[in-house]
Amino acid sequence: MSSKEKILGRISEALKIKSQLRIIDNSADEKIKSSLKSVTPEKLTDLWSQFKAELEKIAGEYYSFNTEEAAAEFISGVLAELKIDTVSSHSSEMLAAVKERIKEKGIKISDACSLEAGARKQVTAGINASLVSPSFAVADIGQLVFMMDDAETSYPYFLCDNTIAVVKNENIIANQFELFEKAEVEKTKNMFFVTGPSRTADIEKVLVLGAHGPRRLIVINILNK
Amino acid sequence: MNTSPKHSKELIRAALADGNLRAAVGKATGSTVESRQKIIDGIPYWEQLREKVYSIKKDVIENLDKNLLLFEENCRKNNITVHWAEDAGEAREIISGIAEKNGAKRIVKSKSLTTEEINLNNFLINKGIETLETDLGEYIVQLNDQIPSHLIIPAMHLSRKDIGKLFSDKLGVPYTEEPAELLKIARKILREKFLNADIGISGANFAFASAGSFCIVENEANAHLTISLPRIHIAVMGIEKLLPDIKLLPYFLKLLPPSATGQKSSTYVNFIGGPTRQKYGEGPEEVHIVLLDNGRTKILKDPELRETLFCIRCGACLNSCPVYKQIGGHSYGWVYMGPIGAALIPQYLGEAEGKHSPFLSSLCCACAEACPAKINLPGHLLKLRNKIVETKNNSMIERIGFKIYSSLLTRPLLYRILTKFPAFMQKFMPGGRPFPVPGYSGRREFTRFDPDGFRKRFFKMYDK
Repeated sequence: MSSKEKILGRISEALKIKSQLRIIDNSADEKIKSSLKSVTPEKLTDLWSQFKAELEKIAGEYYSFNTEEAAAEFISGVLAELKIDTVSSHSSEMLAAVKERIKEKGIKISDACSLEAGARKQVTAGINASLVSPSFAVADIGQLVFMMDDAETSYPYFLCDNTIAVVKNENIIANQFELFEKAEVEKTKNMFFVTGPSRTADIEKVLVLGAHGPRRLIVINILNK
Repeated sequence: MNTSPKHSKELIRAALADGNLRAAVGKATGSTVESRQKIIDGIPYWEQLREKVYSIKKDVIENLDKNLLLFEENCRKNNITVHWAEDAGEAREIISGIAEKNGAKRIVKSKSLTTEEINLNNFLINKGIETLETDLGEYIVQLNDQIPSHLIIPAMHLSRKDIGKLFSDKLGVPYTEEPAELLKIARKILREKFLNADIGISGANFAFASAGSFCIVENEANAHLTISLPRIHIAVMGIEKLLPDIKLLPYFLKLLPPSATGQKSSTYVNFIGGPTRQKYGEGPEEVHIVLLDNGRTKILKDPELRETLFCIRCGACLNSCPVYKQIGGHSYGWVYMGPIGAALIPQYLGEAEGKHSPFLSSLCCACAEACPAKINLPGHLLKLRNKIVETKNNSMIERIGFKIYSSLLTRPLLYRILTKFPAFMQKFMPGGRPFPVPGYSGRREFTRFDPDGFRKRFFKMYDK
């Protein structure tokens, strides 16, 4: 008999013994949903305000710009301040215009997706900043959602010290419940959520940013007004 | 000193004598409890979330066989290889087999209590495979040849000075006790290891039967690097960690971070749904998941104690426990500690090995109030105490003592006479001091006996 058969056999035997666990209050779900609804802003601008407030609480930075040009101007300024002349990025329609404009300002773009696995990790780890585009922003916790089908690489986000994430104004979601309702199941298989810069408090509970991932996270919302 | 649960008493004595340890644990648990409360105060539906999570876990556990089979089937569709391990030995052999087959020289690991449970690191290291913990706290305790002292903050028992000295001694770096500098040192060393690792090993916080995928919740980004940089990924997961549907995850993601670290959300949640290298040009080429029993089916047999399988390993019960705050995690003698550890140890390791564990609780119920999965920990600890007595794993002195006590309680006249005796004898103690009680009076005084006695007091109150 295989281990699988033995384990499943033991489970079936155990489950023949009737549970003496607590009876559940089935109204919990309704109360959660109605409570969530009451605290969820309806307008897009209010969702972004909530996102900004939450992101800033966890040491993230938020900016919004009317145009890609203005965003590119800002990004170039940040990179110049950090003395960074190359950013790692991925192929994304959302980033195309911004990338073009920061290239004009003399910033080199390293496209992680064009490199094979071995070179991709080594090259990306040697770059200090990344320009990425998450699939969604989650308002109630200041979170970014990266679905691999959209991003195709996670290295720029995780291996560079400074991350600049550009999000579409309409890609804001109220909370994770809504995200899992909206997202296609296939896409949820390989994805990652990011809530602020990487951090640890493992030494005497002192918070230090930049544990193994980025030390700085800047989120940019392009309004395209 | 022997570090098994059987020798908890010696471990506790040592912990109680260590003022630094108690201060460190008190400070860390105190600040986590405070942050947790602040977050909870902002979630008006917190109690309903706990109720919902309880109902999900109940459903999972009561349909565990079906959920596991569905999970395996969907993992196979996603090209994830599923292994079943009856015990720690089999799990270790499966993992070392994968490592040997692929000629692995270096393994990077992200924090996983399940791999601690099966003592994986030492096994792999003894096979000549460099096996490195990458979570900062885990890295520190591994350097210090210890096991974690807390489910979430592994090096809680060490001060920054201890860690500074440890890094200086073991890594040959100049002494510093600045947390940011210590992190920088660890990050630099570990980044190189990540980039050249052959295998990544992790646990799994939640796995999804409907999707055939699993996720890891973390703050440092080391888990993501463990998954995405090496060519092979192995996850070790207890069979109870399943959720039937990925859409149920938000309930858990709302409860876990506040309970674990006092955060509204953890910094990262990483989802693994199969090998990705071919599709995205990065990530693992092979993904393996080891489904571990190791005593869980034994726990499932008990119609009440099976509730302890609901644990999501957040550590909230530890932070709220007055006993844990005094004795720290190593006193429990195993990888699980605090109230949940006290309940799991005798169930996993047997009553003889875990005979002291369920008694490491004041039964004040703080753990039950803190538990996001609403596990009735005090109730289970009482039941486990009974089991230890029933299996005669308590001490001979205790058994005789309770026999005498029970015969007294069933003879009212004798009880009345004898209970007056201690208060009477107390008069003859020098300076009116209370009686010395062996094993108790060394550090504090035993309470003086009331000359009136309970009976007289009770009837006085009753008459009023």
